[in-house]
Amino acid sequence: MGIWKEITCSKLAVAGMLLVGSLIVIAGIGPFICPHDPFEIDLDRVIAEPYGPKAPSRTHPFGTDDLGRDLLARIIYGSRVSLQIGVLAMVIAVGIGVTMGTLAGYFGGWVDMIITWLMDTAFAFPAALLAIAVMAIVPNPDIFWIFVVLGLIGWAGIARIVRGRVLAVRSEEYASAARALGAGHVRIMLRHILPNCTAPLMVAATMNVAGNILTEAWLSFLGLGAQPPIPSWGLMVTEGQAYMSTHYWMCLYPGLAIALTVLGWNLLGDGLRDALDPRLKDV
Amino acid sequence: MTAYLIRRLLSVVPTIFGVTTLIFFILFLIPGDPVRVMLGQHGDPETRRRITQELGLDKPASVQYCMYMTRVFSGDLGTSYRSGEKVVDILMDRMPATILLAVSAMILSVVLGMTAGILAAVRQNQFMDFLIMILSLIGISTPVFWLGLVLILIFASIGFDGSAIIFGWLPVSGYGDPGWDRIRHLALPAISLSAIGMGYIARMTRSSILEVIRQDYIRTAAAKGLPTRLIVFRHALRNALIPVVTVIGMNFAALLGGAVATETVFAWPGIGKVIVDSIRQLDAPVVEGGVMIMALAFILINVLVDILYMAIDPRIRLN
Repeated sequence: MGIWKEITCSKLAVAGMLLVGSLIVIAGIGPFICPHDPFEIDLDRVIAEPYGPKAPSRTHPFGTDDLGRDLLARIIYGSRVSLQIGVLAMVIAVGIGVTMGTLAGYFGGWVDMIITWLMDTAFAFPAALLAIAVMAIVPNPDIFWIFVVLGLIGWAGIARIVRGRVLAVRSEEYASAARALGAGHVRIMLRHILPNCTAPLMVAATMNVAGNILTEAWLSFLGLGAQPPIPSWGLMVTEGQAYMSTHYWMCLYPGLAIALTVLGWNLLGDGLRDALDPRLKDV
Repeated sequence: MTAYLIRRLLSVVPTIFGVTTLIFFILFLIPGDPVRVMLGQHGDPETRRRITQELGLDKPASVQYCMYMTRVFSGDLGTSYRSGEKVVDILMDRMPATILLAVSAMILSVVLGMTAGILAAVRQNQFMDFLIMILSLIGISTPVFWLGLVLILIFASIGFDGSAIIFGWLPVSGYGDPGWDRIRHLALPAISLSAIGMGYIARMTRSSILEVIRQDYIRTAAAKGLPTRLIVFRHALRNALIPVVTVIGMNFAALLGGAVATETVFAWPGIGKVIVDSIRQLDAPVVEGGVMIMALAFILINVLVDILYMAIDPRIRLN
């Protein structure tokens, strides 16, 4: 349990684990203990005076939005959206990235050339803009396309890390030994080479989740991500923008939720890197 | 050195080729009917057929691809569905505003980020180091658009239960008139856009300096009795600068993406704002053109960064 000890030694990493842990708990049990329905529209608010969002109070600690929906409940449900998108998109990116990176590093030659070219192209594209380019012409932007886009953006970073590790490990003696014993390509890759990539991969995957959550929030803010009435944090900030000068809470709290969540994943990634990669320790 | 320059410039060609091809594939593969967007639901079949032909949408993919590439490489990005203006003209019109914003934000984040990074490295494992590292991580983690809104809340108006208190310290939207007014309008967008870069640059500067500081020549300098300031600025910084320059180049990607959000929040009339407006009006050619221009800008910036390496590091020049 050396790794565990290393992680828990760093205050920042512990803070990260606490933030991410509470996010998971909130997403898991929050909806069951939350007294308000995040989709329930308070019709009185819409058609009778006083119009508009309600200020934070005892019944609504974070206030309500312009349709009278409880903001805290929406933020709690939003943690599910955020967690789902962050983690699932990461799984897609890691899946594509590991496959491509391993193929490129293991086989070399023209396979490597093509994959490297693809990676360079992906890197040449500012990620957020690639997302816009896709989401702007999708007929109905929805969660499915967000996964696709985030996967398309994230794979290259993962592939580059894996390719580098594979290149380093490929010529190690135990890989040659496995080859001499008659192991096939797939077996060598899966059993002997990939386990060497776990440490940097875990760090990259954690950071990737942070990036995904940020990009999703940003796409939803532009109207290209989750669509109403889904309680996506980015979307909630947009909805609050119109009321900002008079009803600050509508855009303040959802944005704070995004920032804290992303901060948590980034802290966790930093902590993992310090723990798993002693070379970078104290640097 | 000339050979390196030429090689580096040539290496841009396949990347630009890849970027334009990718945009074509996005346009081509994703379901969606541009003709329908132009005409709305009820366009008559005759017009629809004519426009489909004019756009070449009835041709096979390979032909469309060739048409598209010829067009793009001759500098034609198509015309706006909405206004009928040339996309290139629309974008060129907005370019100066985006360049002004991006360059100001970059200068802010380089100056402040490097200062913070150096300070953190010199005070390693002390409170200052901890504070700077946590602040830079917050800078990286905060959504740019939300930071912009919070800045507006703080500097322009503080809302409290229906009654707005307006401070009006700084203007929160628009481009302003040239001169002092422009700078006042630029302040908040530039600050909010610089946060991410500041964070990345501070972190990289710190870790890069800490790595360099362990080298023998630094120990020699310290053993000679040189003051810390001289060691940091004369010996450590120059060598620590290379990874920092890489981060500055990579950071332009986040900066260009962030510009789209910042320009929207602050109604700054740049390319990012035009992209978002066009998204809302389903004006695909302008969106794709804008994205392509920004991607090309990013590629060129990274070439410049590579050339900058040679200025900083003579070892690269010689190899």
